[in-house]
Amino acid sequence: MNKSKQLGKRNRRDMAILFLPAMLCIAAVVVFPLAYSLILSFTDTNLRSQGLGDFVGLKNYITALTDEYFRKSIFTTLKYTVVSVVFELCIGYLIAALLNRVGRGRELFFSIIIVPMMISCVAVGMIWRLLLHPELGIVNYVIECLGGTGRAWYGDASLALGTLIFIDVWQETPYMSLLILAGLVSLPKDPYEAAIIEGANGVQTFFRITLPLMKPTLIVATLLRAIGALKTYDLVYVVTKGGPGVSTEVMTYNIYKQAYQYLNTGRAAAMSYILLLIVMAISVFFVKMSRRE
Amino acid sequence: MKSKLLKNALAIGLAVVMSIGVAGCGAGGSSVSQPQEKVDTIHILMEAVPDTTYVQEAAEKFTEQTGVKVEIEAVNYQTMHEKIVTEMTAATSSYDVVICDHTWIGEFAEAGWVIPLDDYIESSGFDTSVYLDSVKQMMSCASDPDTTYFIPFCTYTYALLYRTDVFENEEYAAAYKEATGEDFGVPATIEEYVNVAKFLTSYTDKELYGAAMQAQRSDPITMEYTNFLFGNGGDYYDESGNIAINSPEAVQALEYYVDCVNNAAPEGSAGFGFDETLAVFSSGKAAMYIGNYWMIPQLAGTEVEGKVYLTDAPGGHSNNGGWGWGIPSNAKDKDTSWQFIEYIESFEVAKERAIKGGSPTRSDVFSDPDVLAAWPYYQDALTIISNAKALPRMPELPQILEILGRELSEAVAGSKSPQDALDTVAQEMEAMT
Repeated sequence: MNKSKQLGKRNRRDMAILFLPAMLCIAAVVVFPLAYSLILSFTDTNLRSQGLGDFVGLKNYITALTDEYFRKSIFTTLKYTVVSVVFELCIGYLIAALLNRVGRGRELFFSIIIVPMMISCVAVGMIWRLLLHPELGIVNYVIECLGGTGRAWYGDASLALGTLIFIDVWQETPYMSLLILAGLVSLPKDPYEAAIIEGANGVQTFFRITLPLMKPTLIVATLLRAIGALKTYDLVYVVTKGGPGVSTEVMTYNIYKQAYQYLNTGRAAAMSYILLLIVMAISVFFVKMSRRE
Repeated sequence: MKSKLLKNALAIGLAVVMSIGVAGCGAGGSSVSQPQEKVDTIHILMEAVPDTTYVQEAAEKFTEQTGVKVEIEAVNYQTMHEKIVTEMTAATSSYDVVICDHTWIGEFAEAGWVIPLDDYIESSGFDTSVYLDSVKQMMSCASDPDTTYFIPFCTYTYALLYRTDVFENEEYAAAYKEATGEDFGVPATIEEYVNVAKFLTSYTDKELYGAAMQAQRSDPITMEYTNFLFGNGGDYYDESGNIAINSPEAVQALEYYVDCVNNAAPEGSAGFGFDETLAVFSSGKAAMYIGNYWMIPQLAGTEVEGKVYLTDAPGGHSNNGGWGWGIPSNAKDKDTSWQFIEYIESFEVAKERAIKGGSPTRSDVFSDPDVLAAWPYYQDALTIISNAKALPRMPELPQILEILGRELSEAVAGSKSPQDALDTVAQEMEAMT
């Protein structure tokens, strides 16, 4: 009895020692920045003066939420996220389903399809900026050769957000396909054999077997992409700088401006926490959905 | 009191946790006499423009002479401000010399991020009287005009760059006369500029655009609009120091600007930055461009080589931009930093850079026979620079330009009327200053 108690104690101690480095790393790179930015968000800290500013309570949060442009940026971010993730999910699923049926050369097709995912977002933005140049870009040239009319893809306030979504879909769909294909490949064969015996058609098989079995994979894939899209910054920075007007100003870009152009790090921290709350709310929603039978 | 206690406790706690000394680095005067750590390499952040390449070449000779290596990090303009600000607010800076845009001068000097250079100027006998009057104002901030914080490096004063072949074209001249009753020529006012630009775009059915324009927020559009503003008799502040950005002249300038972007410039100009606009102009698709005067040498080898000349921006007062050398307060070895600035801005080095196509700031370089032989247009460029107006050198200028850029872009996109957009800018300027 005594011996087992001692063993348990030693195990716990060993466990603590093994955990410690990881915990310290997490504390240094996750907990500390989070705690520090939370503190910042309640102060009027700015980059013009050294150290922490004065405590101002909820002022930064109130100012942010009453700022018309920040509210607009929340709406733009949500619009960007919903539209891009829906497209990525649908197209990603289609590509994954097709790849799943390919017998020979699947690796080759897959390697080609995931190329956009491998390119840095900044490079992707710059490449598309050149391709979509209204006067000198190849996209408008091809459209005009085919008898259409070229458009100002990122210079027209009514098209710019759609253009960013298109670029995001182009780059991120392979990621979605990758996750979905992994799910499709590992699906059990038995339910499908049973379905064939029972005489189920393709649509029934998809909705009754594939979709329920794929649900956890689809939820994780959607959640990961949604978080990515909510945090999109680099693409906006490279392609439109939030313009024309504020038509493509997403939350992260607005936060960046507040921190590095207006130098109000306290207020930027409060805005970051508002973004974090939105990301957390969406994550909780998806996690709850995945647990629902 | 409570908030003060909390603040102190947090500050101490954070300092202990991070083991970082929060050393103040306010404007404490130059540190000529203070003992300093000697460095064998100096690091400089610069904009990726042709002048930076010429500095890099000159820096190699500096290394040969002094043994001090020079590492230049050349980046896009858009990322420079944040990079420099974060470095200068840290305990020590990675940069030993900074290059400062004229729009940041007030901010950097008043925040104490750069040191006054007067002691160095005096002890080394550096002659600052050679600088053009219009660039001298970039050496100090508005609140402390007698202290030198920056040594002028280059100017990027705007000018009206126009295609000589287009303005000599008799067909255009006749058609313009018939359509408007006016003589066709290089525009002298903002109104004429917009009219001529719109005429060319519509007459050639967009084969040749009247104007190449850069209306991307925030820096490109603010710099371009400022030419319209100054040219139309407007300004950021009036002579009594009152906000004038929503004055009738400024609103009219914005109306002209919006009209020009939407009806004379290539479609999509609302998203064009410097590169896209220059690409349009240098490919021969535009007749006029309010661009930097130093661009003419850069047009060599393009479709428009030898067909472009320059004059004052319409209205007679171009927007006067420029860069200056400064030493960060948290630089390790300020003596070596100064040694570099003194070398790179010496007459010989500045002249060599100008001959290569760089932008001079010294009057003796501008009037040097070798420089004028290489670039005869510098004679006229000097007049343009002398006529140019500068932006207010106040600490809030970077933020004001950010707000202005957003609102101008809103006006161009049609989301706001010019009056509403500039009223918003005036309100936010009022709240800020």
